[in-house]
Amino acid sequence: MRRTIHALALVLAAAWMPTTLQAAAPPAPPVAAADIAAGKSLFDRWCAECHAPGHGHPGTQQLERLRGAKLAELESRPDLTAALIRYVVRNGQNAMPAYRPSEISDAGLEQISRYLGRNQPPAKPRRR
Amino acid sequence: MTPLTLPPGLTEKDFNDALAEFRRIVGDQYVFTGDALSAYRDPYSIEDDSKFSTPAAVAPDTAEQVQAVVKVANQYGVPLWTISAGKNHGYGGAAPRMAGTVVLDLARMNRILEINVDSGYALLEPGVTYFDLYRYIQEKGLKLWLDVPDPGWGSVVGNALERGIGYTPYGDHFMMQCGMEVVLANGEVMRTGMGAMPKSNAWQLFKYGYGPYADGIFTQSNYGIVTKMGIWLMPEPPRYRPYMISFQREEDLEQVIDVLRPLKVNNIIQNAATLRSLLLVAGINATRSQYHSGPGPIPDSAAKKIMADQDIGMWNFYGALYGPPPLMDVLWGITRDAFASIPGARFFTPEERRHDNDVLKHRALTMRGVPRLTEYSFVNWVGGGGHIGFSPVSPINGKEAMQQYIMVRDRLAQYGFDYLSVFAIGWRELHHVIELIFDRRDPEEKRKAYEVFGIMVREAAEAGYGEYRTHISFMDQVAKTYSWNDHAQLKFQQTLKDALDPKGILSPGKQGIWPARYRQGG
Repeated sequence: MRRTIHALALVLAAAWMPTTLQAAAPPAPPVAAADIAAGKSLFDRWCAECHAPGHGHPGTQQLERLRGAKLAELESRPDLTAALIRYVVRNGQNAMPAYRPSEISDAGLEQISRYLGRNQPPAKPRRR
Repeated sequence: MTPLTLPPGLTEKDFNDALAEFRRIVGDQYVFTGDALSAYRDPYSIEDDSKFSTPAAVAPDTAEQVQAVVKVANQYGVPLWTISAGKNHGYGGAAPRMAGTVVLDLARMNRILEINVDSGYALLEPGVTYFDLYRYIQEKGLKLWLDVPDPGWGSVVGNALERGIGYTPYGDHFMMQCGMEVVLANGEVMRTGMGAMPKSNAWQLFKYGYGPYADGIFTQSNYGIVTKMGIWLMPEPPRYRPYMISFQREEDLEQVIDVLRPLKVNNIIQNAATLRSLLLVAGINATRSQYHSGPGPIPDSAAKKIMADQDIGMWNFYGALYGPPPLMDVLWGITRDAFASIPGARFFTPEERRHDNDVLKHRALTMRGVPRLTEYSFVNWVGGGGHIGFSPVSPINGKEAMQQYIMVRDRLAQYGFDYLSVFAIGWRELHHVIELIFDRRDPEEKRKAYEVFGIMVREAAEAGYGEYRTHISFMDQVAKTYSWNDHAQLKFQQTLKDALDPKGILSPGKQGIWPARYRQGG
């Protein structure tokens, strides 16, 4: 029963961790191509072994279980904010351990965030 | 955020003065405090985080910076806990044994200093990960193989220093280590073996040099900080054939191990092969809740369904052949005939496995030294991702393997945990590595994991089985099980500690070795 409750809690949690981080975060600003390339390179080095598409990647596999196929692959998700990425990388989540600033610098983490956040819809202009 | 704990006996002023010195040495941006320390927690801790908290981390870039940091630590009495890649997961990760210890983080020291293809070795700094070294070798097109642990995100140097294991013929990592550079507690730097001779060009070729062999005392220890290390690499063999043999019955374990012993001792099985339990293998594709939602161990009916779904056995042996085809044919004939004596044994090549995400297909990579994270999936077996390793050693003997298996299986079941294990077959011994999988979000599961782990350490020791490595929570308990002649070995280790590190600044409590300064409280 306890395991069932945990499973349910996981499914209900809109994102992996603090919902406030999601709700409060503004849409990502436009990103330069060089930043995207640098973020992709860092993603490939530090994240892809777990989070690349296809089988053999535990992060992708577990996200598919918890969030479904559409949200399993980080590189194609439209909902990843910089705040959420920063939080999960520095604190870890479930099986994922945290990454230290000696491994991924704060600047590098920003580049990864811009790369993964590039699919967010652009900010809507405010109505006057 | 865990409350800040300062190093024992230090005033806040002294601590801040020491941090200012560290910043001067490594640069402001490489001394981490406050929120920047979140990633220095043990992600899979089964005790309160405050017991293993760090007030700061220092990340030097060179051996000279390490020397300078150590001198300052000596001056102020700041304890340092050294990590390489910090991926010693299941054994504490990057977290120090003693709260208040500053983490000396060597991740930035990640230079591949030399690779010699003809003689088959690399000289590395401690921050070089298996992924780093593998990518470098692939980019250069070198005909050398690594030997990797699973998962492959750790440090090559750090894993050898922890006496970790891999899966190729070079699977005993410390055995393949050759030559070290070590910063001692007084800040002096030393080279071991042939490295002690200024003009020698055999530092990475001959392990022993002249006089007492020192390298061993810098493994699983707190006597020095290894800043360079040689590791032998395997020349790419002409051919390679991975295989899997599955065994259907729980009780087959005894016969499997007895068949294995002569094959391994006579080097018919060339690599560091492994025998994996049903649920460890199943965990790459499945979770517990797919097969059983109730408390208690997985029932037999569910085990049978897992075996059928994934085409695996209660026990699954993964090995490989290396060399020219005629040699592999001979070795395979002997191996196959020996295991065919076990009723129900089934033999597979990777091509014969029907699932894409399959352990043999994954091991076909790791048994030729390709680092991966694929098998880390098993830590999601119950959800929540917590795991710690319980790793007793025994002879390669069927009755003893069976005794260990039943002892651990039943004790884990009593506490509601499943049995997931690998028997790693060494040159003369079994490392029985049990992965205790728990939900790290659940305090009650963590409490039970802590309790059952302590019981298993005690019961294993009473039966004569000692752990080869352990989590920071149990370093003292395990050290005390190596107690022959009134703890003569631990006393010797403490004597060395006090002589080499009189102020007790290097990794206090590592493997149960406390300096005099903390011994009463340890």
